[in-house]
Amino acid sequence: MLKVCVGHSNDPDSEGAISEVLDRCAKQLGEVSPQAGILLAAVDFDYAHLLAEIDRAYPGLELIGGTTDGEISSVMGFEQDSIALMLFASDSVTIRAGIGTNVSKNEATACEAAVSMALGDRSLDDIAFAIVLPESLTTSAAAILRPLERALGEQVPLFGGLTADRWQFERTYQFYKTEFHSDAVPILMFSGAIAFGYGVSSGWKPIGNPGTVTRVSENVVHEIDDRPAAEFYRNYLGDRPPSSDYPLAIYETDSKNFFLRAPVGNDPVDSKSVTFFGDIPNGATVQLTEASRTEILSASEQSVSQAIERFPDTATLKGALYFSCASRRQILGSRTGEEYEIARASYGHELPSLGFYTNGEISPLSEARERVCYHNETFITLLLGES
Amino acid sequence: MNPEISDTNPHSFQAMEEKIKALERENRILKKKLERSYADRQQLEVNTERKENLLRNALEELKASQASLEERQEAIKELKRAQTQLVQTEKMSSLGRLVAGIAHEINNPINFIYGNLQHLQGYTKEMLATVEAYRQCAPEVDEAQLPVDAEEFAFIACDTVQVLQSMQIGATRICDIVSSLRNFSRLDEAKSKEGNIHDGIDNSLMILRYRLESNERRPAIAVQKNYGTLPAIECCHGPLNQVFMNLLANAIDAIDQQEYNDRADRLPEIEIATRTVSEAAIEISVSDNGPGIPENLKSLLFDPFFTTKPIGQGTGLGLAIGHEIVVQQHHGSISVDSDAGWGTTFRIRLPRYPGAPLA
Repeated sequence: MLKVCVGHSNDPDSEGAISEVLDRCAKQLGEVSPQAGILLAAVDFDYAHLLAEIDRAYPGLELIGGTTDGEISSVMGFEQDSIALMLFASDSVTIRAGIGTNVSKNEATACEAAVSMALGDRSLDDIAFAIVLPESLTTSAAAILRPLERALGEQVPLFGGLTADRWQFERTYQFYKTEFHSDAVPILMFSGAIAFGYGVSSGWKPIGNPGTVTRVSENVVHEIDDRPAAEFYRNYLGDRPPSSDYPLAIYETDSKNFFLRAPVGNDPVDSKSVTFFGDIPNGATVQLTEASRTEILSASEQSVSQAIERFPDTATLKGALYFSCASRRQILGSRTGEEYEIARASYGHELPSLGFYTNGEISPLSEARERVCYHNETFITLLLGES
Repeated sequence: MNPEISDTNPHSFQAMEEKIKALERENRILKKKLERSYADRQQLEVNTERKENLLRNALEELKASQASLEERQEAIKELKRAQTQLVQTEKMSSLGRLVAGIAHEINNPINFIYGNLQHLQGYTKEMLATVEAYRQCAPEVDEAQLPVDAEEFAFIACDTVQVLQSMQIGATRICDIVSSLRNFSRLDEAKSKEGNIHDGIDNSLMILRYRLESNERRPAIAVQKNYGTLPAIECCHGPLNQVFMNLLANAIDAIDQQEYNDRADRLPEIEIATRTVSEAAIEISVSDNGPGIPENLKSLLFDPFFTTKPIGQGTGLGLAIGHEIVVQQHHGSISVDSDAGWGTTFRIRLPRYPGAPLA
C-alpha cells in the first residue's frame, strides 16, 4: 500500500512554515510512518531548521530536496516564497535517498556516490525509476547527467529538475536528510510495487533568422556566425543580457526538429560569450525562440495528457510530480497558477501533487529516443502509483 | 471591555495570543507578497522591454526577408526567361536544321522532276503527233497486230496528257511547300533584314494547310486575309515566321475545341489582318471564332510553361517564346483580346525599323 501526502505553507517564517507543513502531513498520515520525502523550498528559508524539524518528526526519513523558483502543490496550487513537502509511506515500495557533493569538481565521483548511496543493497535491475534534483549553476547539466546515466545503466528512467534560486542565478541549494549543500546531486530511487507515467512538452517556437555555432566550449557559446554570441542575442533583445525565457532552438542535422537550450543569464554585462544550461554542439544551427502564454499552457496540458496515457491502466494513481521551467513562470506571470490548475482538472479527483519551477528539466523524451534527456522550457509531468 | 481578551481570563489570554500570532503570520505573508510583487513588477518591465526589442527586430528581419524574397522572385522570373530562350534556341535550331535538311533533300529531286516534266510533256506531244502521222500514212496496217486498237490509243493519248498535267500541278505544289519550308527554316538568321511580312504569314499558312481542311468534327476553316499595304519591314524574319506559325496553330487548336454539329450560323474562320499604324509601325492581327479565353487566364497566357492544352499537346512555350521574339527581340508589343464564347484576337505591333516608335 502506497500513501502519498503533501504539506505546503507560504509563511515566510521558517519555524511557522515547517510547523504548518508537518501538522498537515501528520493529519493525512495518521499512525503511518513515512519512508521518504521531497522538500521544496524558496530561497531565504532557514534550511537547517526546516530539515532538523522534519528529522525530528520522522527520524531517518529518506529525504531529498532543493531550492526553487516557485513551488506547486495540491494544497496551495502555485506559490512563491513557500515550502512544500511530499511524503511517501509504503510497505510494498522501497525508496532510498543518496547524495553526491562537490559535483562541479568531479561530476563522475559525485554522481557515482549518489547512485551507490541511494541504491543500497538493491540491484539496479530492481529500480523502477529515480528522481534527481541537481545543482544548476556551478556546472553544466549535461556534465552531471552523463555520469549519472552511466551509473544508473540503461534501464532506469530518470526524472527531475535542476534546483533554482528565484531567478537570481547566484546560488541554489540541495537537501539530503538533515544536510543542505550548494554543489550537490541528491537522488531518490524507487523500487517495488510502484508504477509511473510521464509527459514532456514545451510550447516554444523559433523566431528570426537562424545562425551557426562557430565556436563553443561545452555550455559556453563564444561565437555564432563568426560573431560574438552575445551579439546574436543583442540583435534581438537590445542591450538587456540574454535571458532564459529566450532559449535557442538547436536543430538536429538536416531536420526541422529541435531541442531547446536556455542561457543561464549570469554572464557579465560586457561578456561576448553566452553560458547555457546545457551543452551545445559546435556547428549546430541555432535560432532564437519565444513563446506566448497560450502556447505554454497548451503545452502543459499536452504534457499531462501524455503522462496519463503512459500510466499503466492496471495501476492505481496515487500522486503527481511536476517539473516546470522557471522561464515558463516568467512568461506566464499572473497566469502561472493555471499550469497546475490544468493538471488538476485532468484527473477528475484531488491527487496529492508536488512540483517546482526549475532551472532545467530531466526526463526521457519518449521510449523510442535516448533514455534520459535534459530539457529547457518544458513542463514535465510524472504520475506515481501503486502497481 | 471584550470579555474574550480580558487579562484575568487565562482562556481569553490564550485566544488573544493565538490571534496575535495569526495576525503576525498574515503580516509576514503580506509583507513578503508585497516584496515579491515589487520584484515581479520590475522583472515584468524588463521582460516587456525584451519582448518589444525582439518583436521590433523580428519585424525588421521580416521586412528584409520580404525584400529578399521579391528579389528572388525577380531572379526566378529572369531564370525562367533564360530557360525559355534556351529551350527555344535549342528547339528551333534542331527543328530548323531538320526542316532545312528535309527541304534541301527534297528540293534537288523535285527540281529535276519539275524541270523534266515540261520536257516530257513536249516529247509526249511530239511522240503522239508522230504516231498519228504514221497512222495516217499507213492505213492498211492490221489493227489486230498492234498492242492497242485505235479507240484505246485515242484514250491513252488523251489521258497521258492529263496525267502529265496532274503531275505538273503536284510537282508545283511540292516546290511551293519546299520553298515555304526553306523560308520558314531560316530561324538562325539573327540579323535584321528588310522583307515582306505577308510572305512569312503565307508560308506559315502553306505549312498548316492540311490542318485547315475539314475533318470528322468540323467543316474546313475559312481563312480571311485582309492584308493592308505594308512597307518593307526590317526584322528577323525566321523568328517572326515562328510567331505567326504559333498564333495560327493556336487559332486552329481553339477552333478544334468548339462543337459544330452542323451549325451553319457559325462556321470556323480565321481572319488575318495587317495594317500600318503609323509611318513607323505596322500591326498584324490573327483572330479566331473559337471558344475564347476566360478572363482569369488572360494574365497567365505569356508565362513560360503555362498551357491550357492537355498534357503532351502543349509545352506552354509558344506564346512565351512569341512574347520574347516580339517584345525583347523586336521591341514590339503583343496583346490579346478575347470574349469568352466569341473568339480571340492576338495583335502584334512591330516598328518598321529598330528603335522606331510603336504608336
